[in-house]
Amino acid sequence: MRAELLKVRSMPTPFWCLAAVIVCALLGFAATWQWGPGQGIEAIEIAVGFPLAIASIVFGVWIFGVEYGQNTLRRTLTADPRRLRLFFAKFAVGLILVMLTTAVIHLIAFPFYDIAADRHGETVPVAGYRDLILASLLSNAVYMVVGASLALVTASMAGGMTVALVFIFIIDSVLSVLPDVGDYSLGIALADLVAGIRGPLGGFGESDFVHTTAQAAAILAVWLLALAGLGWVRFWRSDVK
Amino acid sequence: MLATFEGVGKRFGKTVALRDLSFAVPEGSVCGLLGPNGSGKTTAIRVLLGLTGADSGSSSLLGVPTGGRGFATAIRQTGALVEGPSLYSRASAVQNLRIQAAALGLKRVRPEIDSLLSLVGLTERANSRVGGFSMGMKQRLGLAVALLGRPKLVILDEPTNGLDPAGIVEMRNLIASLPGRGATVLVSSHLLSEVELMCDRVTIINRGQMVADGSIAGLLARSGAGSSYVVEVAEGELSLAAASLSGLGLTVEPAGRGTLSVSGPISDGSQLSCVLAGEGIFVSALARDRPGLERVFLNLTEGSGGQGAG
Repeated sequence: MRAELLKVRSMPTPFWCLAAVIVCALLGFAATWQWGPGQGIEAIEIAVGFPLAIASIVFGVWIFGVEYGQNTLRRTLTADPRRLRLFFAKFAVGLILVMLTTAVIHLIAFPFYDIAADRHGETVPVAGYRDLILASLLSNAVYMVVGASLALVTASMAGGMTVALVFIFIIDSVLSVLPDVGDYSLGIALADLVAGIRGPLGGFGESDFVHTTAQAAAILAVWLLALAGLGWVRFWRSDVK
Repeated sequence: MLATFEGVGKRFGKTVALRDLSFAVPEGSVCGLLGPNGSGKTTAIRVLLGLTGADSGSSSLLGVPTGGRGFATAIRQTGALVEGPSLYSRASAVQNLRIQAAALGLKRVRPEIDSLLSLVGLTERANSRVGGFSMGMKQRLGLAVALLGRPKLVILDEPTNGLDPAGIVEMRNLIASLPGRGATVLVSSHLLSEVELMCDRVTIINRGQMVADGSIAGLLARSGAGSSYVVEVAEGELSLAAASLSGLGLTVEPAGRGTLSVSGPISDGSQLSCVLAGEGIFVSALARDRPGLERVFLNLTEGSGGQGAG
């Protein structure tokens, strides 16, 4: 895991992901300062929550994709050939950093947005924000796993990025509106869990419950295991060029 | 033996990459793996390192079967530079070495990193991004990465690829110095002159099959190709010199103005000068015909090329 953490520290992509999130958060703060926080925590969701979700996908793809993009997988595996260990180390580092970054950015953003909202005689609701953080932790972890898995499936940085974005924003959205099977899409299951945390009228997490929490968790787990499993099979079976 | 191949076979679809490949790398040697482009050198190295699975046969690294129990430990004692330097181009030279050290489980490596950067002549570029390095610098950094942790075996795949002549000389000297650091070296190349200068033994493969194996001197002696000399005499004495040497049963061919190429069972160059002096001919230059290994290589690879077809 130390090597993976060093890669994160040494490469520009994680830095730029973080920089983009911070810039968005600052822009959101400026907007809140100028025009107010909108309804509830709308401004924070748009300026902090959404960039963090995108950054989680990008970071998830990057954590495996960097080895394909830089053609360094053979070097990594000639230092330690245990592919399963590398697979879990990368997922662990990815999950830890995504969740840590999500929590820290939100916690730093909160007082600033509260001050900005206060200028307009409003406050950021603590309970609502706490729920937003919890929901973000879950959804960003899911996005990171999806991104990482699809980078492995495509064995490519660019391919992983494209497929992950297409999967999350197009394929899964299309799946979710299909009759019968749509309820079992990853997005619907995730939305149910997010709604379970934040309540059914939670802005971006707005959802009428389709499944119980246990059902939604099971559907989500199946999706993630299937995607990660596909990634693992590709990673385990493929020759390293 | 630090690395062995026993009957290794590997196919990529319909293409046979390795066919019953067997050879070994003895400890303390600088062993050259020679073969034409596409002969299977890189595939053999990838199989040895566990990057590609063999379809048949087995290989071992430091006595441990590839992919078997203890392989992770064996590979940590092996440094590898496969198909060019595998570097994180957005990271600096030091960062690349630190990442590799962490992957190898090494701690407190800064002194070793500094020493390796000095060895490969990159101390002044230690904190520069690798993306801005020349090919030669990348190859040298790749070698430094391979040498981290003082490996017992260093495997270098075409380490002089893409280097200019000065870079080739630098790389050759670096590789030649590795046994002094206690490392055995397996170096693959299609540059015969480089292998001849760097290695003490050689394995020649063609179409995935081993066609010759042994010390370079032994290989040249066995083939007779090593006993080839270029003799320079006064132009007027060329015919007499040729006749004298032919009389010894040697093959004599004109090789330019006042020059003869002599091959056959020659113990050393003094034998030729002695014979010619006996005839009153004084040799103005006598040199061993350096492309000896090239001749062996061409003979062997052309010969088995036909056998290996299909």
